[in-house]
Amino acid sequence: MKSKKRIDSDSGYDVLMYIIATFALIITLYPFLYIIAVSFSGSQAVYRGEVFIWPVNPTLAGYRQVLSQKGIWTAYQNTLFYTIVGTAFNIVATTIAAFPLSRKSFSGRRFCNFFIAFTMYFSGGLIPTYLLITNLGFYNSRWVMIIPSLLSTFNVMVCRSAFSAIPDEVFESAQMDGASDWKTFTRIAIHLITPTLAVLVLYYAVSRWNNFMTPLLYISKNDLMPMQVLLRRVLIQSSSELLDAGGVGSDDRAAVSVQIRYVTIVVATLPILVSYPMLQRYFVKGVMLGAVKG
Amino acid sequence: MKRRKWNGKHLISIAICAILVMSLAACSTGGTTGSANPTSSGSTSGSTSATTTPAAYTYSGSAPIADEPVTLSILTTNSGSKILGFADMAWWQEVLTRANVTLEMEEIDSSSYADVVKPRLAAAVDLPDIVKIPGADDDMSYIKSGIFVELTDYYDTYGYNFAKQFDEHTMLKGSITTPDGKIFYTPYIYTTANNSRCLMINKGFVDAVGMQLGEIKTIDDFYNFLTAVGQNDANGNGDAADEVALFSRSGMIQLWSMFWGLDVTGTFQREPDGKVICGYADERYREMLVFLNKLFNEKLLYSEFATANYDTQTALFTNNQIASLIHFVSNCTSYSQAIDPNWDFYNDEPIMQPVVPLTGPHGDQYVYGRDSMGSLFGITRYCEDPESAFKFIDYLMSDEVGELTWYGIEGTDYEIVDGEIQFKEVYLKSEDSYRSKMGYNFDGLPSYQLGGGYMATQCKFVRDMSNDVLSKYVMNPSITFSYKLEEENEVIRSYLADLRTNFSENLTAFIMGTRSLDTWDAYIADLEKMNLDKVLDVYQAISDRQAASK
Amino acid sequence: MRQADSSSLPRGHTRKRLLEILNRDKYLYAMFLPFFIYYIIFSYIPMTGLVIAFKDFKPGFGIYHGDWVGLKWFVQFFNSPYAVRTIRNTVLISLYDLVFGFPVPILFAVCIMEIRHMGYRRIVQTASYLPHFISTVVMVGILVNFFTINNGIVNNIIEKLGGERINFLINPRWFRTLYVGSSIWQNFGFSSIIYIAAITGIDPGLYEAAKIDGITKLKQVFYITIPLIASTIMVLFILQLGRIMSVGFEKVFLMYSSAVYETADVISTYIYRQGIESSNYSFATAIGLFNSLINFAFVYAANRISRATTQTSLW
Repeated sequence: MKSKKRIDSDSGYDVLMYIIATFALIITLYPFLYIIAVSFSGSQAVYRGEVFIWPVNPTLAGYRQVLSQKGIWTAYQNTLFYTIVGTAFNIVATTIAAFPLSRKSFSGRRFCNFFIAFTMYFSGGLIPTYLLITNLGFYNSRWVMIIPSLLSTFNVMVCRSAFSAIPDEVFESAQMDGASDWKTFTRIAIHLITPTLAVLVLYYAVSRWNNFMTPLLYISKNDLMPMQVLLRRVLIQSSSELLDAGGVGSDDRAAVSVQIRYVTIVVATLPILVSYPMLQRYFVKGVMLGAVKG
Repeated sequence: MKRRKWNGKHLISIAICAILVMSLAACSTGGTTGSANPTSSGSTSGSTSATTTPAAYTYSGSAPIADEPVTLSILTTNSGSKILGFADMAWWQEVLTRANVTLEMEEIDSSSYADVVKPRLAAAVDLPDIVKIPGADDDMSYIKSGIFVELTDYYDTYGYNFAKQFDEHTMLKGSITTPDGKIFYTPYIYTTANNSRCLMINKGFVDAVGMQLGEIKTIDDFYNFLTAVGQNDANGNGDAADEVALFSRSGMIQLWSMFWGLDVTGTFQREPDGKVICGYADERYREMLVFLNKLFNEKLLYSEFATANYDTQTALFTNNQIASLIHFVSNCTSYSQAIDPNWDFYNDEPIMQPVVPLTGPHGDQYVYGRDSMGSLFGITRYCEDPESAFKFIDYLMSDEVGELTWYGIEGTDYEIVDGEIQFKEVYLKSEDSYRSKMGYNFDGLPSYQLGGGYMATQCKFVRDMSNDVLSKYVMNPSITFSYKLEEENEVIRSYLADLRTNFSENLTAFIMGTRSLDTWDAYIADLEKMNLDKVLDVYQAISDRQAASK
Repeated sequence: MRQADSSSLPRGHTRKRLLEILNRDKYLYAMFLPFFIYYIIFSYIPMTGLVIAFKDFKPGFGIYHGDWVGLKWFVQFFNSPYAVRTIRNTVLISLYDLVFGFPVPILFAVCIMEIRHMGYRRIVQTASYLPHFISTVVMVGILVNFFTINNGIVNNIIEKLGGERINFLINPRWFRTLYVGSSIWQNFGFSSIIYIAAITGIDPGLYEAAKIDGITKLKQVFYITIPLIASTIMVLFILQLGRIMSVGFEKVFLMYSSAVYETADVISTYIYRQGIESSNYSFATAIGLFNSLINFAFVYAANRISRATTQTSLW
């Protein structure tokens, strides 16, 4: 039933929303367009400040250099493996861990929540962690990218919040049908938090995609390296601050360096961006509706 | 019949089992990859030590290092080239072939190197034969932990090329020797006299303001030049305000102290009478600050001198906005090329020209050298053949390797014409440089900077200037690196970092005028409260030890 | 019948009750158990390494060796003339981020959900998280590029509008603004995702009812949307409070210089400048422990307050 009364301030409100959204679009899209433009531009033009939105003196030199890095395709495959397999493990682990924590009647609730929250604040630091992980045999193993980072406490909390938001009636009716906690979890609860699952997939996938510190520390074999490490190597090598350290004699690398940095961003980012549209459809309203009424 | 859906339940059960199994599997294989294990070069085919049979080849300084091929492994920062890893560089392959060595390299980017290698050294995990240490092991903790093999005897027995290097760089051996006379590392060696940091001036600007380079002899002359640049449109682009009369980058303004006879960059220096002073507390330093502050106020000193980085510098050069700066003389060529891509390497004078050092107010006339000690490399106790590893490193210090590194391969990259090196045309041009593609070693491999290396690729003007003129004015740090005693380390650890913060912060503040130079006495008083005198005592002791051992 | 709250047990039947409760919750315990083990192994065991903070750690001998030095590192830090300053800078940057940065993703999420045109919504959303993927090194490079005094875009615009060029990069007063501003820009899109998901879970019927009642959209935001995602907001707020002492190293390091130490030098950069000798680990761990204690104190307090007032809490 539509309301016949038009609220004038609402159209002002809508316009405001569009203005804000457009502003957000410009300030986030423009720098990225700039990055893409620079990645295709000749470096002299970049240093002269001639690049604004379109590439000046377009060239593929930067891309050729970065993409012809030895082992980049293996590295890319590794990244895909770590991201996909890792995220899968993450989602499974996070949902299973978060579910008990969300049940208000769970006797271990307070303790377990504190137990995991505490770890967010206190850590032994790099050396003890490093010693542990290497002593467990994870050095130069694919699983070092997956097991130690099995759970992100933050994400567990997010998932827990989502489970908590499910109305009690849902669980009560499940219980009356005789379902155990496990069945409630797998048959019902999981399906009701789809938007949150989409968020978690995104968070975990992005975090794994961008992670370069773990492989740097624990992997030395080139065929296990993910792409981020390779790209970081290229990025740092062409980053001026560090070139200065010893007064490199010949600054001839100046010509190509600035562009390379931006190429690494583009190469590193585009693939993961493509995954968002796929998750978009889970951000749909009305998911809860069916569960309660049914 | 109800169709079994492949639902989450299965996935979850499998996943849990997988997790548990994986963790167990990883635990049980703990022995192989987790603990400190012998280097991957374990399976050297026919690796040999020098004392197999009486008639065997003995290494005496030149290639090869052994009869049979030797395999070694190294962990270091990656190469100076952004295009190639060491493995792809032609000249490096040539070095390895001549040496009869196969080198397995693990390279890590320089920015992450310390973070990655420190835990690895601490845990002694998967260490190869040779490792570049992060930092200089100031407090000798790596030495004390026993990860590295003692090299003192190897230096005596196999250090043929090292001996020559130590003759040239007199303080170097003392730097790497521990107080109880042992040596554990091999240094990367910088050239000191052949690539000094000097004042460079934009010849185009000099002409534009109607002066002559030869007229700019003293600090006052220089000031007049800067003023002229500030007032005129020296680069001819219609904007009189975009020139940067004196450019400096973050951390480099200290080099100006050389015109007052100080080595503020090195912080502590030994005066001719043997007394060690701190440059930052000296009256001459105050005079320098007065001068620079004046430049800053008159907008002659680049206003972002404290933060400017390499990118800013390159952008300014590309737009021809810089009138002068102090930097390594070997940069003149590339700066000139940045300013004018059509600059003719062979026929034109460089646009950015190194000049005879200005005479300071007290008559000091210097260009700045450096401490010759670069990164340090150690041979780990996991190396199965430390003698060969050492011989290889010694070989890397030879003339032959220096020439391959800095000149390339004779015939392909250069030719000797009338006793002089002539590079092939393709080698020299800057944009999309062949040299960049060829790559070179900066501090990643245990080697050295060939004395003539930097200058060989410069245009004749710069080369002559550096070799004939500037080398006479070089001021090297008077106190070089050295290992300290435990009590000395304790003092340094407690006070030096805070003192340095104070130094750099006030340097910037005084020059920018945010702190008035009238408060100089309060500044000195602060330094005394921060125990500068205790640190000075330590450096006095160090310097005395260095002087005594020469 | 399951009780809503299991915290009160009748006396005298405690042991039997306990077993009953454990049996009732057995699936839940079983579900959590593997991860309990995971946390023990990967979080709690390394946590014992905090002892390094009270020792003089030397590499190569393991973390439990080394002489005990008690509170030496803490004393060294607090004796420094810069201790107060670094703490102050750290806290201020975090507070700026909290006050200015925390609301932005929320407001953006609300705004985005009001965009009816799905195509446009998708575009704006995707664009909004592009900045998240830019690595710090490049991010700071762009920042410097834009704000530099001679050729920077921002100053060029200022000059064209008739103003005088501002020296952003060497002025301590601008540092926090640049730092926090760029952080907000970089993260608001990505951080808004979780709020968007939360808003998605709100029953649309509520909005329809409100519309029928003639409530303006603006009021709907404050009376429906925000209250219904309040628990998400609270949780994230508490978590951010718990990062008050944790200003990351890399970005400050790339952005700062001696000209702006006054406002830019934070605890992590201060520790870095202590030197790269190996005993730095003990010092770094000690100060890290100090930071953790403060962080945790904040979280604990916030958590209690939140639990009492809004019934949302981390534990």
